[in-house]
Amino acid sequence: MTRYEAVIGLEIHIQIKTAGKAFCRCASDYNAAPNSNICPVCTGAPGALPVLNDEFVKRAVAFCLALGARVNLTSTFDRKNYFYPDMPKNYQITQFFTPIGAEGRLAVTGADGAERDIRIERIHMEEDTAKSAHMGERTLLNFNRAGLPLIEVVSHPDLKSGEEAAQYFKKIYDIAVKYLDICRGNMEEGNLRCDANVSIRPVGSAELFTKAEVKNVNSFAFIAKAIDYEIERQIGIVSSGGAVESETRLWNAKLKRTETMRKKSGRNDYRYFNEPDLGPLHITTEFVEKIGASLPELPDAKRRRLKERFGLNNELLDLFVGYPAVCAYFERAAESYPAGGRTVASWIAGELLRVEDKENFGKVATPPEHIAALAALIDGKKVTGPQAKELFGVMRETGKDPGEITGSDPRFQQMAGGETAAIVAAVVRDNPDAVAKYLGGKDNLLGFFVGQAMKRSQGKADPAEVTALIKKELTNRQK
Amino acid sequence: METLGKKEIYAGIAAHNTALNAYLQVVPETATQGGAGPLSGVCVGVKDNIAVAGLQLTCGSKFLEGYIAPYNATVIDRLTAAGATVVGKCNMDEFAMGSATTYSAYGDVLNPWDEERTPGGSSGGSAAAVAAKMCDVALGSDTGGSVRQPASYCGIYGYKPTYGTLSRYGLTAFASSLDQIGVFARRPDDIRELMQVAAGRDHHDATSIEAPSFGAKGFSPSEMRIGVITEYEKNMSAAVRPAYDRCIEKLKAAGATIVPLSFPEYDTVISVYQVVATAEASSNLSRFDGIRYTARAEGCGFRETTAQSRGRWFGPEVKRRILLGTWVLSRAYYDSYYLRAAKVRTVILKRWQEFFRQVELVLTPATAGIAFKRAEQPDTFALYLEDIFTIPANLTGMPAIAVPAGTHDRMPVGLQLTADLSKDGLLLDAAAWLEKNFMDFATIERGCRHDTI
Repeated sequence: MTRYEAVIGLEIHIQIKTAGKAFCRCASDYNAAPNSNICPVCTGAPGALPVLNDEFVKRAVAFCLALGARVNLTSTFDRKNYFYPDMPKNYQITQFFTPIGAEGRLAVTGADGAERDIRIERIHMEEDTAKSAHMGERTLLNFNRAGLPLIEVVSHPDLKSGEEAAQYFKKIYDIAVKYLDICRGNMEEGNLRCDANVSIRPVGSAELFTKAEVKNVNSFAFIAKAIDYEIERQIGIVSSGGAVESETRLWNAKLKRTETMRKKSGRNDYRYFNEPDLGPLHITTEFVEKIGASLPELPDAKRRRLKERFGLNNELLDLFVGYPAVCAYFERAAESYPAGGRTVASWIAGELLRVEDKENFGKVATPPEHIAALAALIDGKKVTGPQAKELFGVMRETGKDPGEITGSDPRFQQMAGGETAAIVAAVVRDNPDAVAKYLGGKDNLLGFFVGQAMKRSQGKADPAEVTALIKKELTNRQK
Repeated sequence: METLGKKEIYAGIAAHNTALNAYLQVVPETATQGGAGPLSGVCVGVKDNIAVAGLQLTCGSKFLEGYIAPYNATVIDRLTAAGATVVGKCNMDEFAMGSATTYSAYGDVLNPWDEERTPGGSSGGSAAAVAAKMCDVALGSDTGGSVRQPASYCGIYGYKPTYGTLSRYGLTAFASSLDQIGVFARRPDDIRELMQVAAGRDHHDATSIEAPSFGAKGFSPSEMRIGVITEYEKNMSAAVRPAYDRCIEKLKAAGATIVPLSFPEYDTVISVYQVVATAEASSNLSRFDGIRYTARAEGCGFRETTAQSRGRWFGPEVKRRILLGTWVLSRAYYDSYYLRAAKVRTVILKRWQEFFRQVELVLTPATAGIAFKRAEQPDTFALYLEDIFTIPANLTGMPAIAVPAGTHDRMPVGLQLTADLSKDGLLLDAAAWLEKNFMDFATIERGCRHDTI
């Protein structure tokens, strides 16, 4: 039986956050009252002309650089001609002949665990369309969205599974939304839109077969499911002797399947030509370098560095790479306690994020230096685990440095030398029955003794020390 | 600027507009507002494809009947800020496509010199309005000669600036890379004064450029090399030849050096123009779909509504050019038509840039002949050939001006001067010199029957 592999390419549209629209100065707030942020330019009034928004160019260049793409110093704006009710001019200004960026790459981890580069074919700038709403037989048009800046990223068909596509999409999302902050990232409002071109071929073949386009798989919840479903559907058709049809499909979340939206009959002819109202876009090497210098550290570089510097595990790396704000906090903390990076990291992941929201990790009441000081107390066995948790609570309440708190609050005083041994001796002395049973072979009673000792020390004793002392005490008795 | 005065101009409109059909909309005299400034009191006619807030913007088409411009074109803002007054919207060929103003959906414009004849086109209304003194100056648009040709047919000056010198913001696009707003005037100095306030970079038009100097520097022919094009001279009509020859003699006598130039690509300009202009037009005119503004033919759904609206309200010449433009841009023919035309256009630009390394100005006829009778309008293709002298300036972006140069058969004859990019000042200086030293203004004024003087 023939085995098949999937060939997947993604086209992702990213709505870019700028004060004005791509080609006019209207406010970019598409949620304002319908048709309130519009002008002759973005509604295609006779005589209106587009003028390129510089901020759009800067953000597009930053994005190209972030994806390791070549930035074309001369790129073209071109018209894509087709009639559609939400297109005010009945052509879209896009970059067809020479896009701003080409030949980028982004790594994904394949099913075999190996990292692999997904090649990016092109990155181009274009304008968004109006939004239509259907009210019975009528269609209402809201032009607030018309002319908003969009960047489209087109990958080569290098992806092999829904899971890989999901990784790739998530990475694009992280870079645009969390690292460069050039997109609002609201998927429900269509800030990021993803279409997948899916085809299958016999394993080993280099040919590309008829593909289906699955529209709007822009959801972390179903992008992988929708693509995997589509792959299985195509394998099913081909295995039973059928042929995949060229069509546009949509994911039905309720029935968990892709469904035909429209058949593609022949190729559309968009009659592309250079946009005469704009002329080519020329940028300088200095302009690109300046933007390059202002870029933040990007996910792949960050992961590599954190791993080398702090030896963090994958779980912590995922957390910090996925949440740059949390990572920045971690790094500030680790700076004041360089030797304890791992303790600081796990304390942030385990305890701080229990009370702070990583999705909205803005102003955190506890300064990172305090977390570092707490980690140092833990590592130096100056506080026990339970004490540390309590101490953290007090830190949050008072905003005080942990050193200052432990110095004055008796709850966090260290047990004096020999004090722990005395408690352990007392626990063994006061529980003769349990001692007898333990010596009779009931090893699991160790926990009972430790618990009793911790209780008597009011949590101030070090559980590890207590355990060791109890074992020693009981062993002595055995002799 | 010397103005005829509002009173006289409105008297002219009252006397002639019904017959000439130059204005499609006249601003009532009581509603006009002039301000202080260098153009205070100047009355301007505006071609009906240039937006004037609150006035109609039909582009000579049924499609835009009743449409009121929601904003001012940049040139209108600048002219009114300088004190000028818009007196009306001038008739034109539908969407500026035509050479006789016989393709207006609102009736022909008649030539003030002879009502049986065309005033030229597509800015025929603007030309007629200036010639018949129904305004001081008028704005037109020039994509292939639509200002210079009617100016020539009506015995006045018609100037197309260097591409980008006047903002196109507010000019309904026909062919964006060729379109330029132009100026009609009875005197070159009027053009100069208008340009001093209207020209220059505009943040609404990415193709706009810094204004060159329009201050009069004087013109000394003895320092000038004037180019004449050999290929044109071979096929010049008897109507324009005498005026052309007289002009050359006059310049020579004044000390100018006449330099013969060869323009071997001259016979490609019509084809290149037709491909580029119709391609851009097919895209520019897509916005007229009946959805957001203007008339809508109710159909079932978007596709049918659009098709119905465009089918019903675009005139035959506009449809012809949209079809041609759509064809030359289609995937199968893009390389052999549009791309090829774009390449030849570059060759033509290089050729003219080479001319201006040898000469300061190029002198040619403005048109092949005098205004033809409307009843004897040439067929579509012959009409396209009318633009052979004017098109190069649009393809290259260079400034050019049609100047009155006498009469033939009691009708005005026009010549054309072309200068290098942004040498508009020199061009107007030369036109002013010809006005003083060459043109017999009195002859021309007598010939214009609708002259109110």
